[in-house]
Amino acid sequence: MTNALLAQFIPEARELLEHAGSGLLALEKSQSAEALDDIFRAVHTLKGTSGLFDIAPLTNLVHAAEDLLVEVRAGKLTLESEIVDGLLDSLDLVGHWIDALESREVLPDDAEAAMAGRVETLRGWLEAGGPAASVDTVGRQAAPDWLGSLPEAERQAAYAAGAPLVAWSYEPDESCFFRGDDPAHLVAQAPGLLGLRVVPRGPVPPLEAYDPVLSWLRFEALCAAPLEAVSEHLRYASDQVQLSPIEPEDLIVLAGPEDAAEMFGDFGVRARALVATGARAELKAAAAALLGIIGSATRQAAALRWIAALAATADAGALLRLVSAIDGATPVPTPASPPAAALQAPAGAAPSRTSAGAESPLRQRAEAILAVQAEMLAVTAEEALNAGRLAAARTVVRRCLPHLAPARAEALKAALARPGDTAALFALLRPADDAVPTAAPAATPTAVASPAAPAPALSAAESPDGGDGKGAGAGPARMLRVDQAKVDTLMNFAAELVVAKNGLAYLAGRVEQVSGSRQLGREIKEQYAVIDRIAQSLQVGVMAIRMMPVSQVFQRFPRLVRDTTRKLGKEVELVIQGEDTEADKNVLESLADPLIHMVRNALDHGIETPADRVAVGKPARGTLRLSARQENDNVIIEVADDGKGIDPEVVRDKALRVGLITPDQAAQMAPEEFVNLVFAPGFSTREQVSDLSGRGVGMDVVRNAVRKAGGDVWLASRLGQGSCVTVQLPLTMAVTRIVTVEASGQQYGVAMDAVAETVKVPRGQIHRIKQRETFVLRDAVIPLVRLADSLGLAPAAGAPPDEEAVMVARVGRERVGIVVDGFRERMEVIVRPLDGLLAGLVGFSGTALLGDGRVLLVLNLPDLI
Amino acid sequence: MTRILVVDDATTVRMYYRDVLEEAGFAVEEAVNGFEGLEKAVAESFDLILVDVNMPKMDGYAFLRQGRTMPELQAVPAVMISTESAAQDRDRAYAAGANLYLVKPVRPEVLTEVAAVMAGVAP
Amino acid sequence: MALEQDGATLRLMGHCPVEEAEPLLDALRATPDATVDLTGAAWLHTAVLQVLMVAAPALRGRPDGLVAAACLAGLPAAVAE
Repeated sequence: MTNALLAQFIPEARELLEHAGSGLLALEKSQSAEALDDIFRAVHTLKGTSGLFDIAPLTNLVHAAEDLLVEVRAGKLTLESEIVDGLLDSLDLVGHWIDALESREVLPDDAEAAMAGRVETLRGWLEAGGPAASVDTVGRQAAPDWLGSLPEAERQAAYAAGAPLVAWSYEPDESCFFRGDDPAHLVAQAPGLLGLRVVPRGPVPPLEAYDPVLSWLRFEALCAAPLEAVSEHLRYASDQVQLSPIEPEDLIVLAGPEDAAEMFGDFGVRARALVATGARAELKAAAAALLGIIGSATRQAAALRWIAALAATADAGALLRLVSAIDGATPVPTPASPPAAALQAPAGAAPSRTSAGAESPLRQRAEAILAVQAEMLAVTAEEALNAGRLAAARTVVRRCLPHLAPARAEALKAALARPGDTAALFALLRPADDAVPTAAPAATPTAVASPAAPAPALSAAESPDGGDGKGAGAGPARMLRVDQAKVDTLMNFAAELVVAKNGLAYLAGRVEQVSGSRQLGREIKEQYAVIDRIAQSLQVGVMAIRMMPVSQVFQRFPRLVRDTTRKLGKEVELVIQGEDTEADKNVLESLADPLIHMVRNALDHGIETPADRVAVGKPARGTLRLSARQENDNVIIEVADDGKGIDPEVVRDKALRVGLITPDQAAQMAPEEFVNLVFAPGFSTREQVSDLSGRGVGMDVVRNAVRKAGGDVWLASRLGQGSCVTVQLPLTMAVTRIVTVEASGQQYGVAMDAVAETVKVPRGQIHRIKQRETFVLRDAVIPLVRLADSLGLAPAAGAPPDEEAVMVARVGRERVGIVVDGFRERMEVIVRPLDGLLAGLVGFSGTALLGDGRVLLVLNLPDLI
Repeated sequence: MTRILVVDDATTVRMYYRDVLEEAGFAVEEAVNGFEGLEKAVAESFDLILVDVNMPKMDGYAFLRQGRTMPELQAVPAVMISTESAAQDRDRAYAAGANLYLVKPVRPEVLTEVAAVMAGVAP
Repeated sequence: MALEQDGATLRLMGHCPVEEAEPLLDALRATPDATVDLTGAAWLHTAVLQVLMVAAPALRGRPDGLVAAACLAGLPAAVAE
């Protein structure tokens, strides 16, 4: 294809050159804006087209000619015959190169050097064109303004290395760590890295409020390598990188206060003579001597250091410019403006990243394009165009839908369905906002508050400037970034209110008891009901702010799975389901690490190598399914693989061997109970697990983490067919509904989540099987535990009751009956972790403050069984 | 078949887009300036328009502005492809009604991916 | 484990991935006068470097390379014991 394209390019280039050449001659005779436009367009087109081929010198030369013409067109430069000659010479040179391309498909060997000479000449005119014009205005050659901030020694080293040099800046986006990026690593590996400065991109939060998972650095780097090599190295971050090819001269940036000492004049005279006679060693010595007696922070000192460093190698011109900078004869231009034509990645077109799983290969691209739609609509435009711009943006959004995550596509689809609600659509388009699952970090320092009602003032028709698609203010205004600490404070107050209102119920009871006034008691209860309703709404509202989609945790897995499987030599398809399921931010955070552990285990020990899979008749490519769903007040996460599964007998034998269970216990256990022994502490650590044909590395750690967050985890496995680990976590962690129970005269709280039902069991129906009391509940044998025994309390005085009060609790998937002396009230409390003296107490998950000021211990059932 | 209109005065550039896009399964039609682009775009319907900035007779900005006011064209996604990477050039393209702004030279894979998303080819 | 604490000395060792940033931050918050020993650190993830830049503890040893040097240039060196 390239050859056919080149064959097309050659005649076109000749035509453009001819066009530009005859135009220049005509222009010299009579000034005409139209003729100038034609020349400019011919050169511009030639530049743009030449970029399709690997002929950088040609592109650079044409670019320099174009820049000169820009100045002419802007009236800043007069087109004198000398300049016309120079342009014609340059066009002739390009014509030669075109001939060479035609015959040999490459530029002549000396093209680079010839180009440099020509560009130098063209630039010279630009510089001379007027005080306003300086080297900086020569597009591609302009150096970034931060170059002078790099350490001087690093710049001198780069100068010594010589061309090609590339200065580039890199601002990794805030959430890049979640994609597995390590910007420092990328920078460190850059080809020919010689200079580097690392600066914060904006204000950095103080240590107290610092969030370690956000990226906020900006890298400013200097590489002695060809532009193509640097660009290739940074290709996956190209949307965050600005590349500028620079000349060694650009590195000489002299900063510091002026020193007006007379001796600089003497030095200037002497130094020029030394340069003229080629006495470089003396020049170096003279510079060093002067440096010894002047302050080091001045601009002159900087110039002297450069002279000392370059005396032996630099060309005379560069040295003379430095000398001029010292005695003030002609100042060296200091680059001050950003590069006019720094090579920038296509706007908004992030390169697509390969990712495992069911994700559309174009998702990244589609997301980038969506983001551009918001950017585009935010740009102020003529009123008459806005309807069209919005219509086109809507078309684009619609076409992006099939490539997006299903949840995101649904949300956008809904927004599209409301044509009037531009603001809602707008708000959804920006991936930079935390509201968008695919790009949002899992643990930002901010929570996002989405106003419940759409802000009507922002709808298209009512926007103040009448601009239809003009969302400049609409996008950001829809989302509110709030410091998480503020939301947490609000959450605590809401929860305190829920608890405090319980005091009213208690008060109502007291009023009836003490004053005997049923009427007053009833009125207090009515008031209580009102406050209760408001408090609950408040709590639901605040909790909704903290709810985040599970995708925030899931999004790191495509990368993790891809990297891990590549390392292991396995083939795995990652399927993610239900990523729009929401849960409290803290809950999600507590889930992240255990989940990584489970996924790694599944990849490491669960899924077999392609050869092993094929040998047992499975497809070579394994499947790992990550799914999330909501069940009542819980979020359920499953990690399922179709690997080799776990052999319960192997687990049993090992558990027996390491003394985790007794033979008696083993005899009573079902196969699925054996596989769950992998969660037991001490199971996996005593021996290599890989010989267990299952998993096990640190599964006790996983269970601890999940239980700490108030959830549970269990495993189901079928030998040869795969395993599934299920994690159950509460949707929120803040307020717990509890029921109080009594044992030996003491009251304790039990989380309602754990309580399946409460029953009265006649003594006669309690049977002893082996060592354990049990009873039958609807055909199921339920083991019984006496709370007083478990807590080591003395049994309640008096004769045993005819009926036992039994609370049937779920612990994992087991049901256990807990015998108590009685049930008391149900309430909502904030469970606070045990601290101080209570910290080491086993059997309790925390304490709760009751409406009447008492402190209640809340039981942690798994500890008791 | 998904149809793409390429508006660029450079024959080589049009050919490059045609080669890349036809290879990827798109049907490509060409116009050499904004005027011709508008004529073709109104006469036949397209799923996506790629437009250059600097062209004789009618440049890319004028083409986009005109298109965004015409019922037949206003909802058709457009990509402006320029040699300039400065933010003000990009914003000018967005103001005129471009849905995306790419800087030349556009690599083949970028071109095909952008076309696949914006011209509406399901994955 | 890439992060170890020994009194007021936090030691980062070997390859310190992004996951170390949070524990390091917690440790630095809890130990305001901490000295961070990097003599055994081979590579610090950007997130880890960022935490060090924000907390600015005294450092013992610096990892090789321009990147770590540029990030940690402003941090004080620990006084030799």
